[in-house]
Amino acid sequence: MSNATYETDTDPDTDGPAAVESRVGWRYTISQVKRDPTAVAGLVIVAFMTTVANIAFVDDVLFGFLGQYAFFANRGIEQFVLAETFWVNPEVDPGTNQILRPPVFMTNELYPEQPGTMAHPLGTDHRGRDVLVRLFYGTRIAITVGIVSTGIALVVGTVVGAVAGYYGGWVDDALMRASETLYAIPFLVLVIAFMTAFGRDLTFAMVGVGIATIPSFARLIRSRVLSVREEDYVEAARSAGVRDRNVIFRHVVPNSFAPVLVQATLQVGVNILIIAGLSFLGYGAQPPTASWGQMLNNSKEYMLPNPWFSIWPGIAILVTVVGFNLIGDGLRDALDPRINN
Amino acid sequence: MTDEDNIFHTNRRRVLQGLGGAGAAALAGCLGGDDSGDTNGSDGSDGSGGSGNDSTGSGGGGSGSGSSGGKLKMALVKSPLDFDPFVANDVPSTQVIDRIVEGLYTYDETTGVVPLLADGEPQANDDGTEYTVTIKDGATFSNGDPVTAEDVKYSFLAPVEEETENASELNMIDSISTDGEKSVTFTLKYPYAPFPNTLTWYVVPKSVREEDKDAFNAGDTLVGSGPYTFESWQEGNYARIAANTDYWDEPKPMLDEVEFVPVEEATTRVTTLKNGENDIIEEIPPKQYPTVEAIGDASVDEVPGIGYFYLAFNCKTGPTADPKVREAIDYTFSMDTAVGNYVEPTGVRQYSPLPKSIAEDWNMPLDQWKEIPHDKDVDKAATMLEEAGVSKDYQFKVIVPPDDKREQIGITVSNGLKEAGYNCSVQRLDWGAFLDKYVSGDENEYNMYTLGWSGTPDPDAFTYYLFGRTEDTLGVTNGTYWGENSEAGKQAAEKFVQARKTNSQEERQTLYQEGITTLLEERAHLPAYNLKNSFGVKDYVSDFTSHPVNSFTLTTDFNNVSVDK
Amino acid sequence: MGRLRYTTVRLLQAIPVLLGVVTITFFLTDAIPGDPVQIMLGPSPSAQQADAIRAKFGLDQPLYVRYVNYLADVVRLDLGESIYYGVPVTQKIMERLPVTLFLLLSSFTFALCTAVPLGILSAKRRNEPTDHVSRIVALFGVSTPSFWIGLMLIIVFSFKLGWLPATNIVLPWADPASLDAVDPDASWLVARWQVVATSAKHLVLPMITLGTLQMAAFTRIERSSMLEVLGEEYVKLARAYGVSEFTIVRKHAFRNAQLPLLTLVGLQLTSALGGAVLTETVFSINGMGRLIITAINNQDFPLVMGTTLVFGLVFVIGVIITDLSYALVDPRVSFEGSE
Repeated sequence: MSNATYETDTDPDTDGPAAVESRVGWRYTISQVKRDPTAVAGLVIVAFMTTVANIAFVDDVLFGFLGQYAFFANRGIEQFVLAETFWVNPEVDPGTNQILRPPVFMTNELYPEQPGTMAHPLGTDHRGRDVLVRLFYGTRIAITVGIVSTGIALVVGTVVGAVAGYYGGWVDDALMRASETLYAIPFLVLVIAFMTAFGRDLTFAMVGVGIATIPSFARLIRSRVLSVREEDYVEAARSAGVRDRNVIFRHVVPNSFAPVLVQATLQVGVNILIIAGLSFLGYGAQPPTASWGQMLNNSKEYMLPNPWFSIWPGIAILVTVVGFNLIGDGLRDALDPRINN
Repeated sequence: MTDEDNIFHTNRRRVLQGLGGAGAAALAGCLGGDDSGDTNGSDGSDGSGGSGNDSTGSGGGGSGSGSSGGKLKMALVKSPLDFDPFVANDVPSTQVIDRIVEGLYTYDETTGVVPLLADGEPQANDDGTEYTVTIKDGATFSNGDPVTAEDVKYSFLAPVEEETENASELNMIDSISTDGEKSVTFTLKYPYAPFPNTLTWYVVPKSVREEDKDAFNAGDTLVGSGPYTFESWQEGNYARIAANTDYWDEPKPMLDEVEFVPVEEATTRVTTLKNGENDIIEEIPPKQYPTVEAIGDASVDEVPGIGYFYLAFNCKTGPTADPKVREAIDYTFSMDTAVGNYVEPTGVRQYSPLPKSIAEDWNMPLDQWKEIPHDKDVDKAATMLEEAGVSKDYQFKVIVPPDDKREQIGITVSNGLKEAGYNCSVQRLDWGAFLDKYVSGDENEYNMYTLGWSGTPDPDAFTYYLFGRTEDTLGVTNGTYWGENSEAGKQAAEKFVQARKTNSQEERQTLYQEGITTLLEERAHLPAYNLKNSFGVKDYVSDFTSHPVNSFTLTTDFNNVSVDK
Repeated sequence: MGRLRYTTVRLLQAIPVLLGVVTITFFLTDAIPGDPVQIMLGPSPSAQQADAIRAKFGLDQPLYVRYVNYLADVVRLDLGESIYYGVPVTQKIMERLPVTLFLLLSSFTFALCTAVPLGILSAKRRNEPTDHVSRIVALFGVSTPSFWIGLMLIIVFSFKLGWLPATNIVLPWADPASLDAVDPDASWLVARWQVVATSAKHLVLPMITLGTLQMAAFTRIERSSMLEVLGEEYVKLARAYGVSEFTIVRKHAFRNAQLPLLTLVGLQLTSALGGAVLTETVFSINGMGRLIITAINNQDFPLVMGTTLVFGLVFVIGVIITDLSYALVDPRVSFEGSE
């Protein structure tokens, strides 16, 4: 099987960005990215989403954890204290009957007695919760699962790919056949089986997606390593008696890292989409945790009476993934001067 | 026969109700109404069972001269799997089989049992262990063979002998004897009060089924005495039945052909109704009612089914073994609001394990039962939980099956407990994992669960399996273990067992009333709702009727569907 | 090494991959909690019933024995009997596979037919409005959840406008008698035409839903590889000789630019198979995707194994076909010494 990567425009079989990058250095790359308005737009989106995700993380997870201890609880720290102080709790149902309201200024012809209100600018969901606040808190899940699952795939894939490429021979054969095997089972099926076996939980979704996408990194790293392996300095290090492990991770891997970074950025976007798909099928965050895929899943039954409930989470996913893709594209263009004039 | 043979193990259809189709399937029984014989102390409540059956048609009936009523396309939730009525154990399969295969008895417009293949009421002996039924002259299967006593005997014995999944429906029968071609006598192992329900069981021709059971199950050789015959089937795509032009009874079907197609997503089903892909769709979800009504040339036809959905407590281990804690949890949320928000109008609030129609027919104290559940009072709940000594660190667990409505109820309780200052998590499990867990009685697995049940229109079906303490129910279909640590619970459970073997309607009524009142006060369950059998029907379909027990009817004494596009 | 020999070698190389697929799936499905017998028979099957079923499906034997037995059966092309459906797994797969393959091929065709012109146009008109539009379309295409596109299409085209059906797929070679859209008295030709027309109507929405992601990914790679090729020396040379732009693209650049695209087409298969699960769910299509989900949810081990194996096989064959087509696009590629 060839060495192309999954869903990127790079073609690692031709002479690589890695070599270019190692000559011009990071500073040049960053300055290139900065000059690319679309990449900057991507950075802005991702920075915004990450900030939102961090606030949500602090309010939900960190405060929830600290709130268990009397020291913090007595000082008013508990889960969703920020949301409750400045906004509304994303998980608790409001007491009043506010179900499926349309966005502000809109009226749902089926429920004319329930027009949109300023209190819920994007409307409410099937339990009457504010859609905007749930989108906000759902960002945490999207960003976390995207980055963590990519991280797992990146780390394991790098090790596998580097070892396979460096040693060659039967090690290479075995590892590459194994990664082809993983690739031959559709991600979604593999992860669903994995989650059914070990637990319908986001943790397992992240690990499952991470494992399923190992091959895309393994292949990429391997192909870079194959070309770097024959470089003089690697030969030199090896003949100087440097241990294999050190040769691989001190010299070979760092020199292969540029295309991997591009791939990783794009992969975060892909993984967010995969996990949204999993949640849509019911394999995702447990309720009442807010997550975009879960919101889409919930909205399935309410799509006709209130299409907005389905539209917003879709847009949130779209925008976030666009952000990661723009950064990935920008990085690639910066690293590959042939296309970028 | 040993005692183990008496096991009434339940079947998948009942526990999973609400997963696949609307309401109960056909095997349900009757109320012990006028049909149940003179020894059964009937209260003569025939026909008052179901309520609100707003049939769109004009009560067809009569003697239609047969077809020309066109072709009907109907969307079910799932695809049928089996067509052999002895093997079929899921709602969609029975929804199709019911049009093809008839029983000795059937249901009238509501839940009363009326003769179909049988000639008149069954004759029972004094202690209720023997029932004799005569078959109508002229009743024939669609292949022209007459329905004989031997066919009936075979039909009631084969499922048990072959140990099919439906054996539990029939294994109270000890033996069956025939007298001539037309008379059958059933001998029961013990007096079983709801037996007339059992007599609605399917009758198929022995010779045809025995010849090739696989072909029979696949539909190829399926033969019944019903108004429709099997035509063709492709799993997951469609099942087609056609008018039985030689139908032995009146009225003859008006429709030429009916096609059932499975459409799982509710939104898609409603869409197919609007754009005319289907003429009738099954199961309208709560928030889709206005959508269906807004379609213009379609309306909703619905009737409450014979079902029961509830929140159950683990009364064996963990804090919920204490009735005080269960009452406190009742205070953390309002079941009325939850059902109003997430279930109505697809379902109706139910205050006891008995569906409303049954409770009314049995003169149960519904007003008194309605007062038992508390309104939401979080402060009171918090105080009670603290008094009961539940640690603030305790992690309550609610497990729910993969069904949105039950999940919503679970989340509502969980939110209520959180408001009262306790931790609670909701776990939505696959059916496999859920069925494994909910009967374990282990507090680490669950403190509460939400589930549903459906059965014959008799209180027995809604008490024995859910609260019984016999080895075939406790930890099998009863995951509450209620009564294991309370004397009141134990007695109530015993009453339910006693009631099923008692012949007098009055005694049974008292036993059920007392038992159910105790269980509501002790809060082994918090009854939640009952689903309706609801259908979206295009206006050009006339005389279609939803049915509390049979889900819907096409050609019967009281209706005969036709399509005029 | 001839093409035939190459194909044979590739197929042999696929064996360890398929063995791996079987092994992973086997042990993964075994780890799924719950008892398939219980799912079949309800919570309290009688002991005899349960034992009979266990024996029938070999569930009473130790894990390694089952594994070895299963492998032996697979070699004999016997995938066993589905627990849930009660029919041979191969029969079930033969029913469902054509639907998924039809959907998959249609959406890939749709993707390629849109992506190649769009990518070329984009590259030729670099930084012009056409380019911007096509890049934005492609960017949004790779960033949108496919099932969400499906939901939106259903709302608009099926529900609001009522133009297209929202469910199912009809195969164009289906028996006319099985469709109600077909006039029973029509001649053979007319009937066939009506079947094909029905099939097309049912296909449109699922095809777009599944194909958008591929279309976008293909457009992106087509554009970048086209740009790359157009920057090559020989293209500049041709241009200097006054060869028209059209001829340059058609004769020189086009073929060479297709290699990265081909690679991607092969690799996209696996994500498209996953996407098929979602698309089939949204449109209630009875294909392999929904089959495998049903199998997993009902712990129908033989069916899970069989469907995954077939998915693996489809993927492997897809990649081999892609590799073979390199030669069609680029005559310089020979199969000598290929890995």
